[in-house]
Amino acid sequence: MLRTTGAALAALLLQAAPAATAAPPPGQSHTTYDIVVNNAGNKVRGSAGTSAFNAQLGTVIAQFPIQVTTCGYVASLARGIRHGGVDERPGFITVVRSSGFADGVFVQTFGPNGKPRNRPFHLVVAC
Amino acid sequence: MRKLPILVLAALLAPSAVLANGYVVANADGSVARSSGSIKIDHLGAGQYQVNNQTPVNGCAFIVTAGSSDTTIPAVTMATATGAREDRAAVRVATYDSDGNPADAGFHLIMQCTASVAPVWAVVDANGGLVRGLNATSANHTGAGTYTFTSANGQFSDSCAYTASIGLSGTSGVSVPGIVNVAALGGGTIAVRTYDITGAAADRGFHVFSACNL
Repeated sequence: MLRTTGAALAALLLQAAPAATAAPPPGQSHTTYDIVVNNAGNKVRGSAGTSAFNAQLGTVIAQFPIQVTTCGYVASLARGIRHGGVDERPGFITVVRSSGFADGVFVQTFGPNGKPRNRPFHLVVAC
Repeated sequence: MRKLPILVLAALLAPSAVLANGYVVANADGSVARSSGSIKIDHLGAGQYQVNNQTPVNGCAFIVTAGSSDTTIPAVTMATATGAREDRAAVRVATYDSDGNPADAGFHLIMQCTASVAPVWAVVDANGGLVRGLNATSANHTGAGTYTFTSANGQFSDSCAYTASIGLSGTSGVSVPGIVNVAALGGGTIAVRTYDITGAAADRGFHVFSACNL
């Protein structure tokens, strides 16, 4: 395990909660949703019904208007401000479905040294 | 109340900034390998690109993955994106080597502006197992951090952009961070390479998403 910090351990514990079991609603199987989140974990823009909150250092749970347990998620480190700006710094980002929220994606962001850091990102979910 | 018809008329006549989904696959020199619509790229400096669209994209989500437009396996590269401050129709893409230094690299950029049909997406675990997806045929693990993914659409790898993220397929636990890059192999198959944060090949689960003919 890479440099298991307190934050990473807490993230693991956060993800250890029982999963909600539910299938995506009928008729939504080919839909995409997106959300842009700033480095404070707040939604900047995105599909209707989406939201986000910062769970802990380097960890955001993004929520969508449908259950996303059977979906795919792609995310990039990307600026989360309305008017653009300078190039976003390098780093790492990972995705996994949330164990506590059937409509949630658990996003972790890291600095170049692999330590959890709050970073802005863009996330697309395909269901 | 009398202002209402005027406001409605003004709204109807006002030029609308239509948000349209788009994608581009770029080569390391900034040339466009393939794209949706007319997209031009300015190569601003080492690892710095500006993707210029015909319509505003400042309200969109940008997903970018470093990778090649053809069968060439790219060098280990990270990529990030941001909207251009001065131009609502432009996206700045930055690419870095595994040490975080700016370095030229090809990339696949998807600009998701409105809900769309994702023609192909898949979730693959670290062992190469195809866990779930849409129009996904198979996945294989052929070596450390080395995967192939084949879609049901034979044109997939030749005409689309595809982005990927390190991620787990289930709910339990979290993934260790890493780098993921892509390359087109033809025949509906793409190569996916995953690395640890030092740039060494390492097995990682990933999610892959494509955009074609948006």
